[in-house]
Amino acid sequence: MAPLMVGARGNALARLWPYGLLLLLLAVLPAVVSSYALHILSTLGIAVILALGLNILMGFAGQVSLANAAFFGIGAYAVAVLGNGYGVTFWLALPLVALLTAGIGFLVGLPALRVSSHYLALATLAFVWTVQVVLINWVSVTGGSPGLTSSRSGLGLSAFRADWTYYLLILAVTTVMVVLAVNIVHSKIGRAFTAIRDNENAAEIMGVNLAKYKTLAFAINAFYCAVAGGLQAGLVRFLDPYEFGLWPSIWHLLYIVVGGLGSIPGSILGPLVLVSLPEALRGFAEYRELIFAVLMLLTLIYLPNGIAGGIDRLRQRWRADRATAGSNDTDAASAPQRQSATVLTTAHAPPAHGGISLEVAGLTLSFGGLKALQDASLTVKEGEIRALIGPNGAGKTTFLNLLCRVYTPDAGTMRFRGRSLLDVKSHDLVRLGIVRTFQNIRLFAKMTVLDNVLVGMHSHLDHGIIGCAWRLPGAMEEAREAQRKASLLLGYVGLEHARDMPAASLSFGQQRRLELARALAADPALLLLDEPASGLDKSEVAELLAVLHTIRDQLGVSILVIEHDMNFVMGLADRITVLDHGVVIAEGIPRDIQRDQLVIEAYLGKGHALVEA
Amino acid sequence: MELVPQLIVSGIAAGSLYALVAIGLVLIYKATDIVNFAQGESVTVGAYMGWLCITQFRLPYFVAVVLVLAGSALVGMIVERVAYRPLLKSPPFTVILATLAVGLIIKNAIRLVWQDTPRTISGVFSAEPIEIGSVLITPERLAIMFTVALVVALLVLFFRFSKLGKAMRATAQSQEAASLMGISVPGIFSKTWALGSALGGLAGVLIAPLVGINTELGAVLVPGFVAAVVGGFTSIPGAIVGGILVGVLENLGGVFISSSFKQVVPFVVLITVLMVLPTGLFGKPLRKAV
Repeated sequence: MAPLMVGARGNALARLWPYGLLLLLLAVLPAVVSSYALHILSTLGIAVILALGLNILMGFAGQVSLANAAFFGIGAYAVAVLGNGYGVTFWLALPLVALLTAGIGFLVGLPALRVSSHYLALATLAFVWTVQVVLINWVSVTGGSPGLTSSRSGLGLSAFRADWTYYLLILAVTTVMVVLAVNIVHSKIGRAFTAIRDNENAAEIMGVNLAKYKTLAFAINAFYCAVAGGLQAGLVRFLDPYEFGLWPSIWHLLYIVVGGLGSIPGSILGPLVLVSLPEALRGFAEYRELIFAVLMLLTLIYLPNGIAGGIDRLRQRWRADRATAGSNDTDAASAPQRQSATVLTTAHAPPAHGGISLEVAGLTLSFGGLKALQDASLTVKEGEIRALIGPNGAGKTTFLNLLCRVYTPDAGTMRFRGRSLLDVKSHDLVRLGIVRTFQNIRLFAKMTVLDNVLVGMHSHLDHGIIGCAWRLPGAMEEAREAQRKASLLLGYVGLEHARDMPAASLSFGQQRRLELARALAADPALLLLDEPASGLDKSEVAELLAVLHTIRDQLGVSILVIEHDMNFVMGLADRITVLDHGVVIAEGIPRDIQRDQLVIEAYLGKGHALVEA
Repeated sequence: MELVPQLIVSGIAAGSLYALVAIGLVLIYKATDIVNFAQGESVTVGAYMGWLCITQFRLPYFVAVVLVLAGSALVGMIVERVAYRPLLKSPPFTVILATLAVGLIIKNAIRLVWQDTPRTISGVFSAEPIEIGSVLITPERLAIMFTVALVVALLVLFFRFSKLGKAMRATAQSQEAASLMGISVPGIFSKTWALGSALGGLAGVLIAPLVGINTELGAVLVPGFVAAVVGGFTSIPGAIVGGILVGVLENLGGVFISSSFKQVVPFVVLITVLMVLPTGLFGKPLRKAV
């Protein structure tokens, strides 16, 4: 689904009218359908909210959870108890409970920071189990295993006593929740979620605070579930604790697996199928669970992206057919059209610290008994291109990982513009102006080319969840500006024609250029490049060389490049540092390094020249 | 307080069954990186097959155990074939959901055939408690503990000395290298799922005389999983220690805190371990790979 309103307002109206019409149709349905059908439609609305919440957490942020039904239960019971027991009106109770439940969601998400999917499944399973035990055993509040009676008048919803009015309320809330979800997933928050899902390391390097966004995803999930729960408390006559256990959680999972993981339309289609299907299967009640399990298995195998994914694939095929039948202007479009780098500016202040960008001294790290780095020192001046070379296993990548705070050194100092990096977290490097690329390219494979670049700007976008979810003018302005800049960057690396394609569909050389554009999007003052030329052919290497020189000359970015390809390094670097077995064995300008006897021996053994003259 | 040794001993008996389930999970996880959520159903299948063999076909208990092992191994191979192999290229999460789906299919198929009526079988050993020191224990529970110990010993020997066991260990370490050495990796997967599932089935037929047989037996997956997590998820000794720990804590918590608390104990243990020791008691610390 496209963002609801990126372009001009008239444009948005043209795009939105089908949704408006659909909404109008849904709103007049009570006039024509039976009260039973109305109940099913109300249930469907609540199911859609549950599916949206779970999809944001699992489909977009990639965090596994079986706790959906627990948050649903907390929301339902809390609203019911507050309303029927203490006379708190629904209108106050619902937002209050939703926010509190979001807080609980945040806490449940904490283990996500330390453990990966399998454990997370169990930790959340533990939570759903615990909540159910509490619901069943805290009899004085929850009514225990017989359940808790609830009524709309008890909740202060006398105006909505008629079923059709309550249905309209659910429809309104569901619509709002759908719009909010669309807005969130198309904002910087949604991009951060997807980036975490696709590649945690790269997301962190681009400044996405993993802890913050993972727990935020859980909080949003809990918020959605609690809203659904509050609505449920008004829909049914009594709450049954057994409807908030593990099986309902799995049921919610089924909504999004069948509908489509990581798809908002899928979060609507899944519940649509799964809420209406049982009604169609009412004659086969005892086979129901079996039928659903089979359906789930078949979907996983044959429709891995759910119904929404299947529809997308059909649409793409149809579009591709049309494109080939039409013109063949694709060739012209794919020719890179370079724009000048002068359109770019860097946000980082000009050199302040005596012209020194990076200063590393005495860096030492051992893995067990193996000394990976021993007393390594290196200084990069502002605006310098420095290469760090050395044979395999020399410690180059270890050096980079130390800089990027993946490892902590046993000894030594690392300063960037005078500031020590030892107490800086990985995701904060980009805010200081340090960005790296990876040897084995780490793009966000399923995101579009444009979104990949936008993630690069993550740390410079200031608007939070409220601004993004409600599309406040400030956040929108910021988002438009970011899009404009991202387009420029794509033009600069010759990928503008591919902006809406998934990153995974690019060729290897294009992926390297995209990774570079993403790094530049973060306005770096120091670029760390991990073997940027590996896997490129001769002409691509020459292009890269030119691009890197432009980046340095026009943006004043300092570059530290780790490289294997000698010819490339000789043409690129101002100065070269050579590592061997974790020790710096030489440093100097390319011409001297080429003749350095120690270096030649380290690389080739005695009696060889390093590079053909 | 004189209850404590008693509670510990019966906790060990329950825990050794959790350990069996956990070892099954660990074996499959080590080989394929997948947590088999259908493992609980192999316990159910084991129990029902035991019931069929003993009360319907009037076979001796020991023959029944052998048939159960074979039958639940077959279940494991089926799960591997329908839920794992078609999804080799999918993310682990999808495969886990698929094993969950297969588990549900098995559970519901059993329910359709035999309904929800609980069934019982009697074991070969007496349920009349005997006194050892100050502790009362039934020969039945003693036999379970002994059987589990025997199975674990056999497993250790199997992995150390048999050709197949070595091939399984090699595959768990590197599928590519194992394949280059002429090991059929798909074949090993299939056998690993069979073995893991057979251990679940054994747990089922062992536990059946104690707790009766119904379609909810698969819930033992949860304490089994916790046991595996506590043990680090890649270690067989870890799974045993984890299983016994969960069993004992469950018993102690059930008596000293409240009986409804007993069900929550595994989760309290789980969350504590996840927060304090994310790699478990026996897991190797992982360095983040970059």
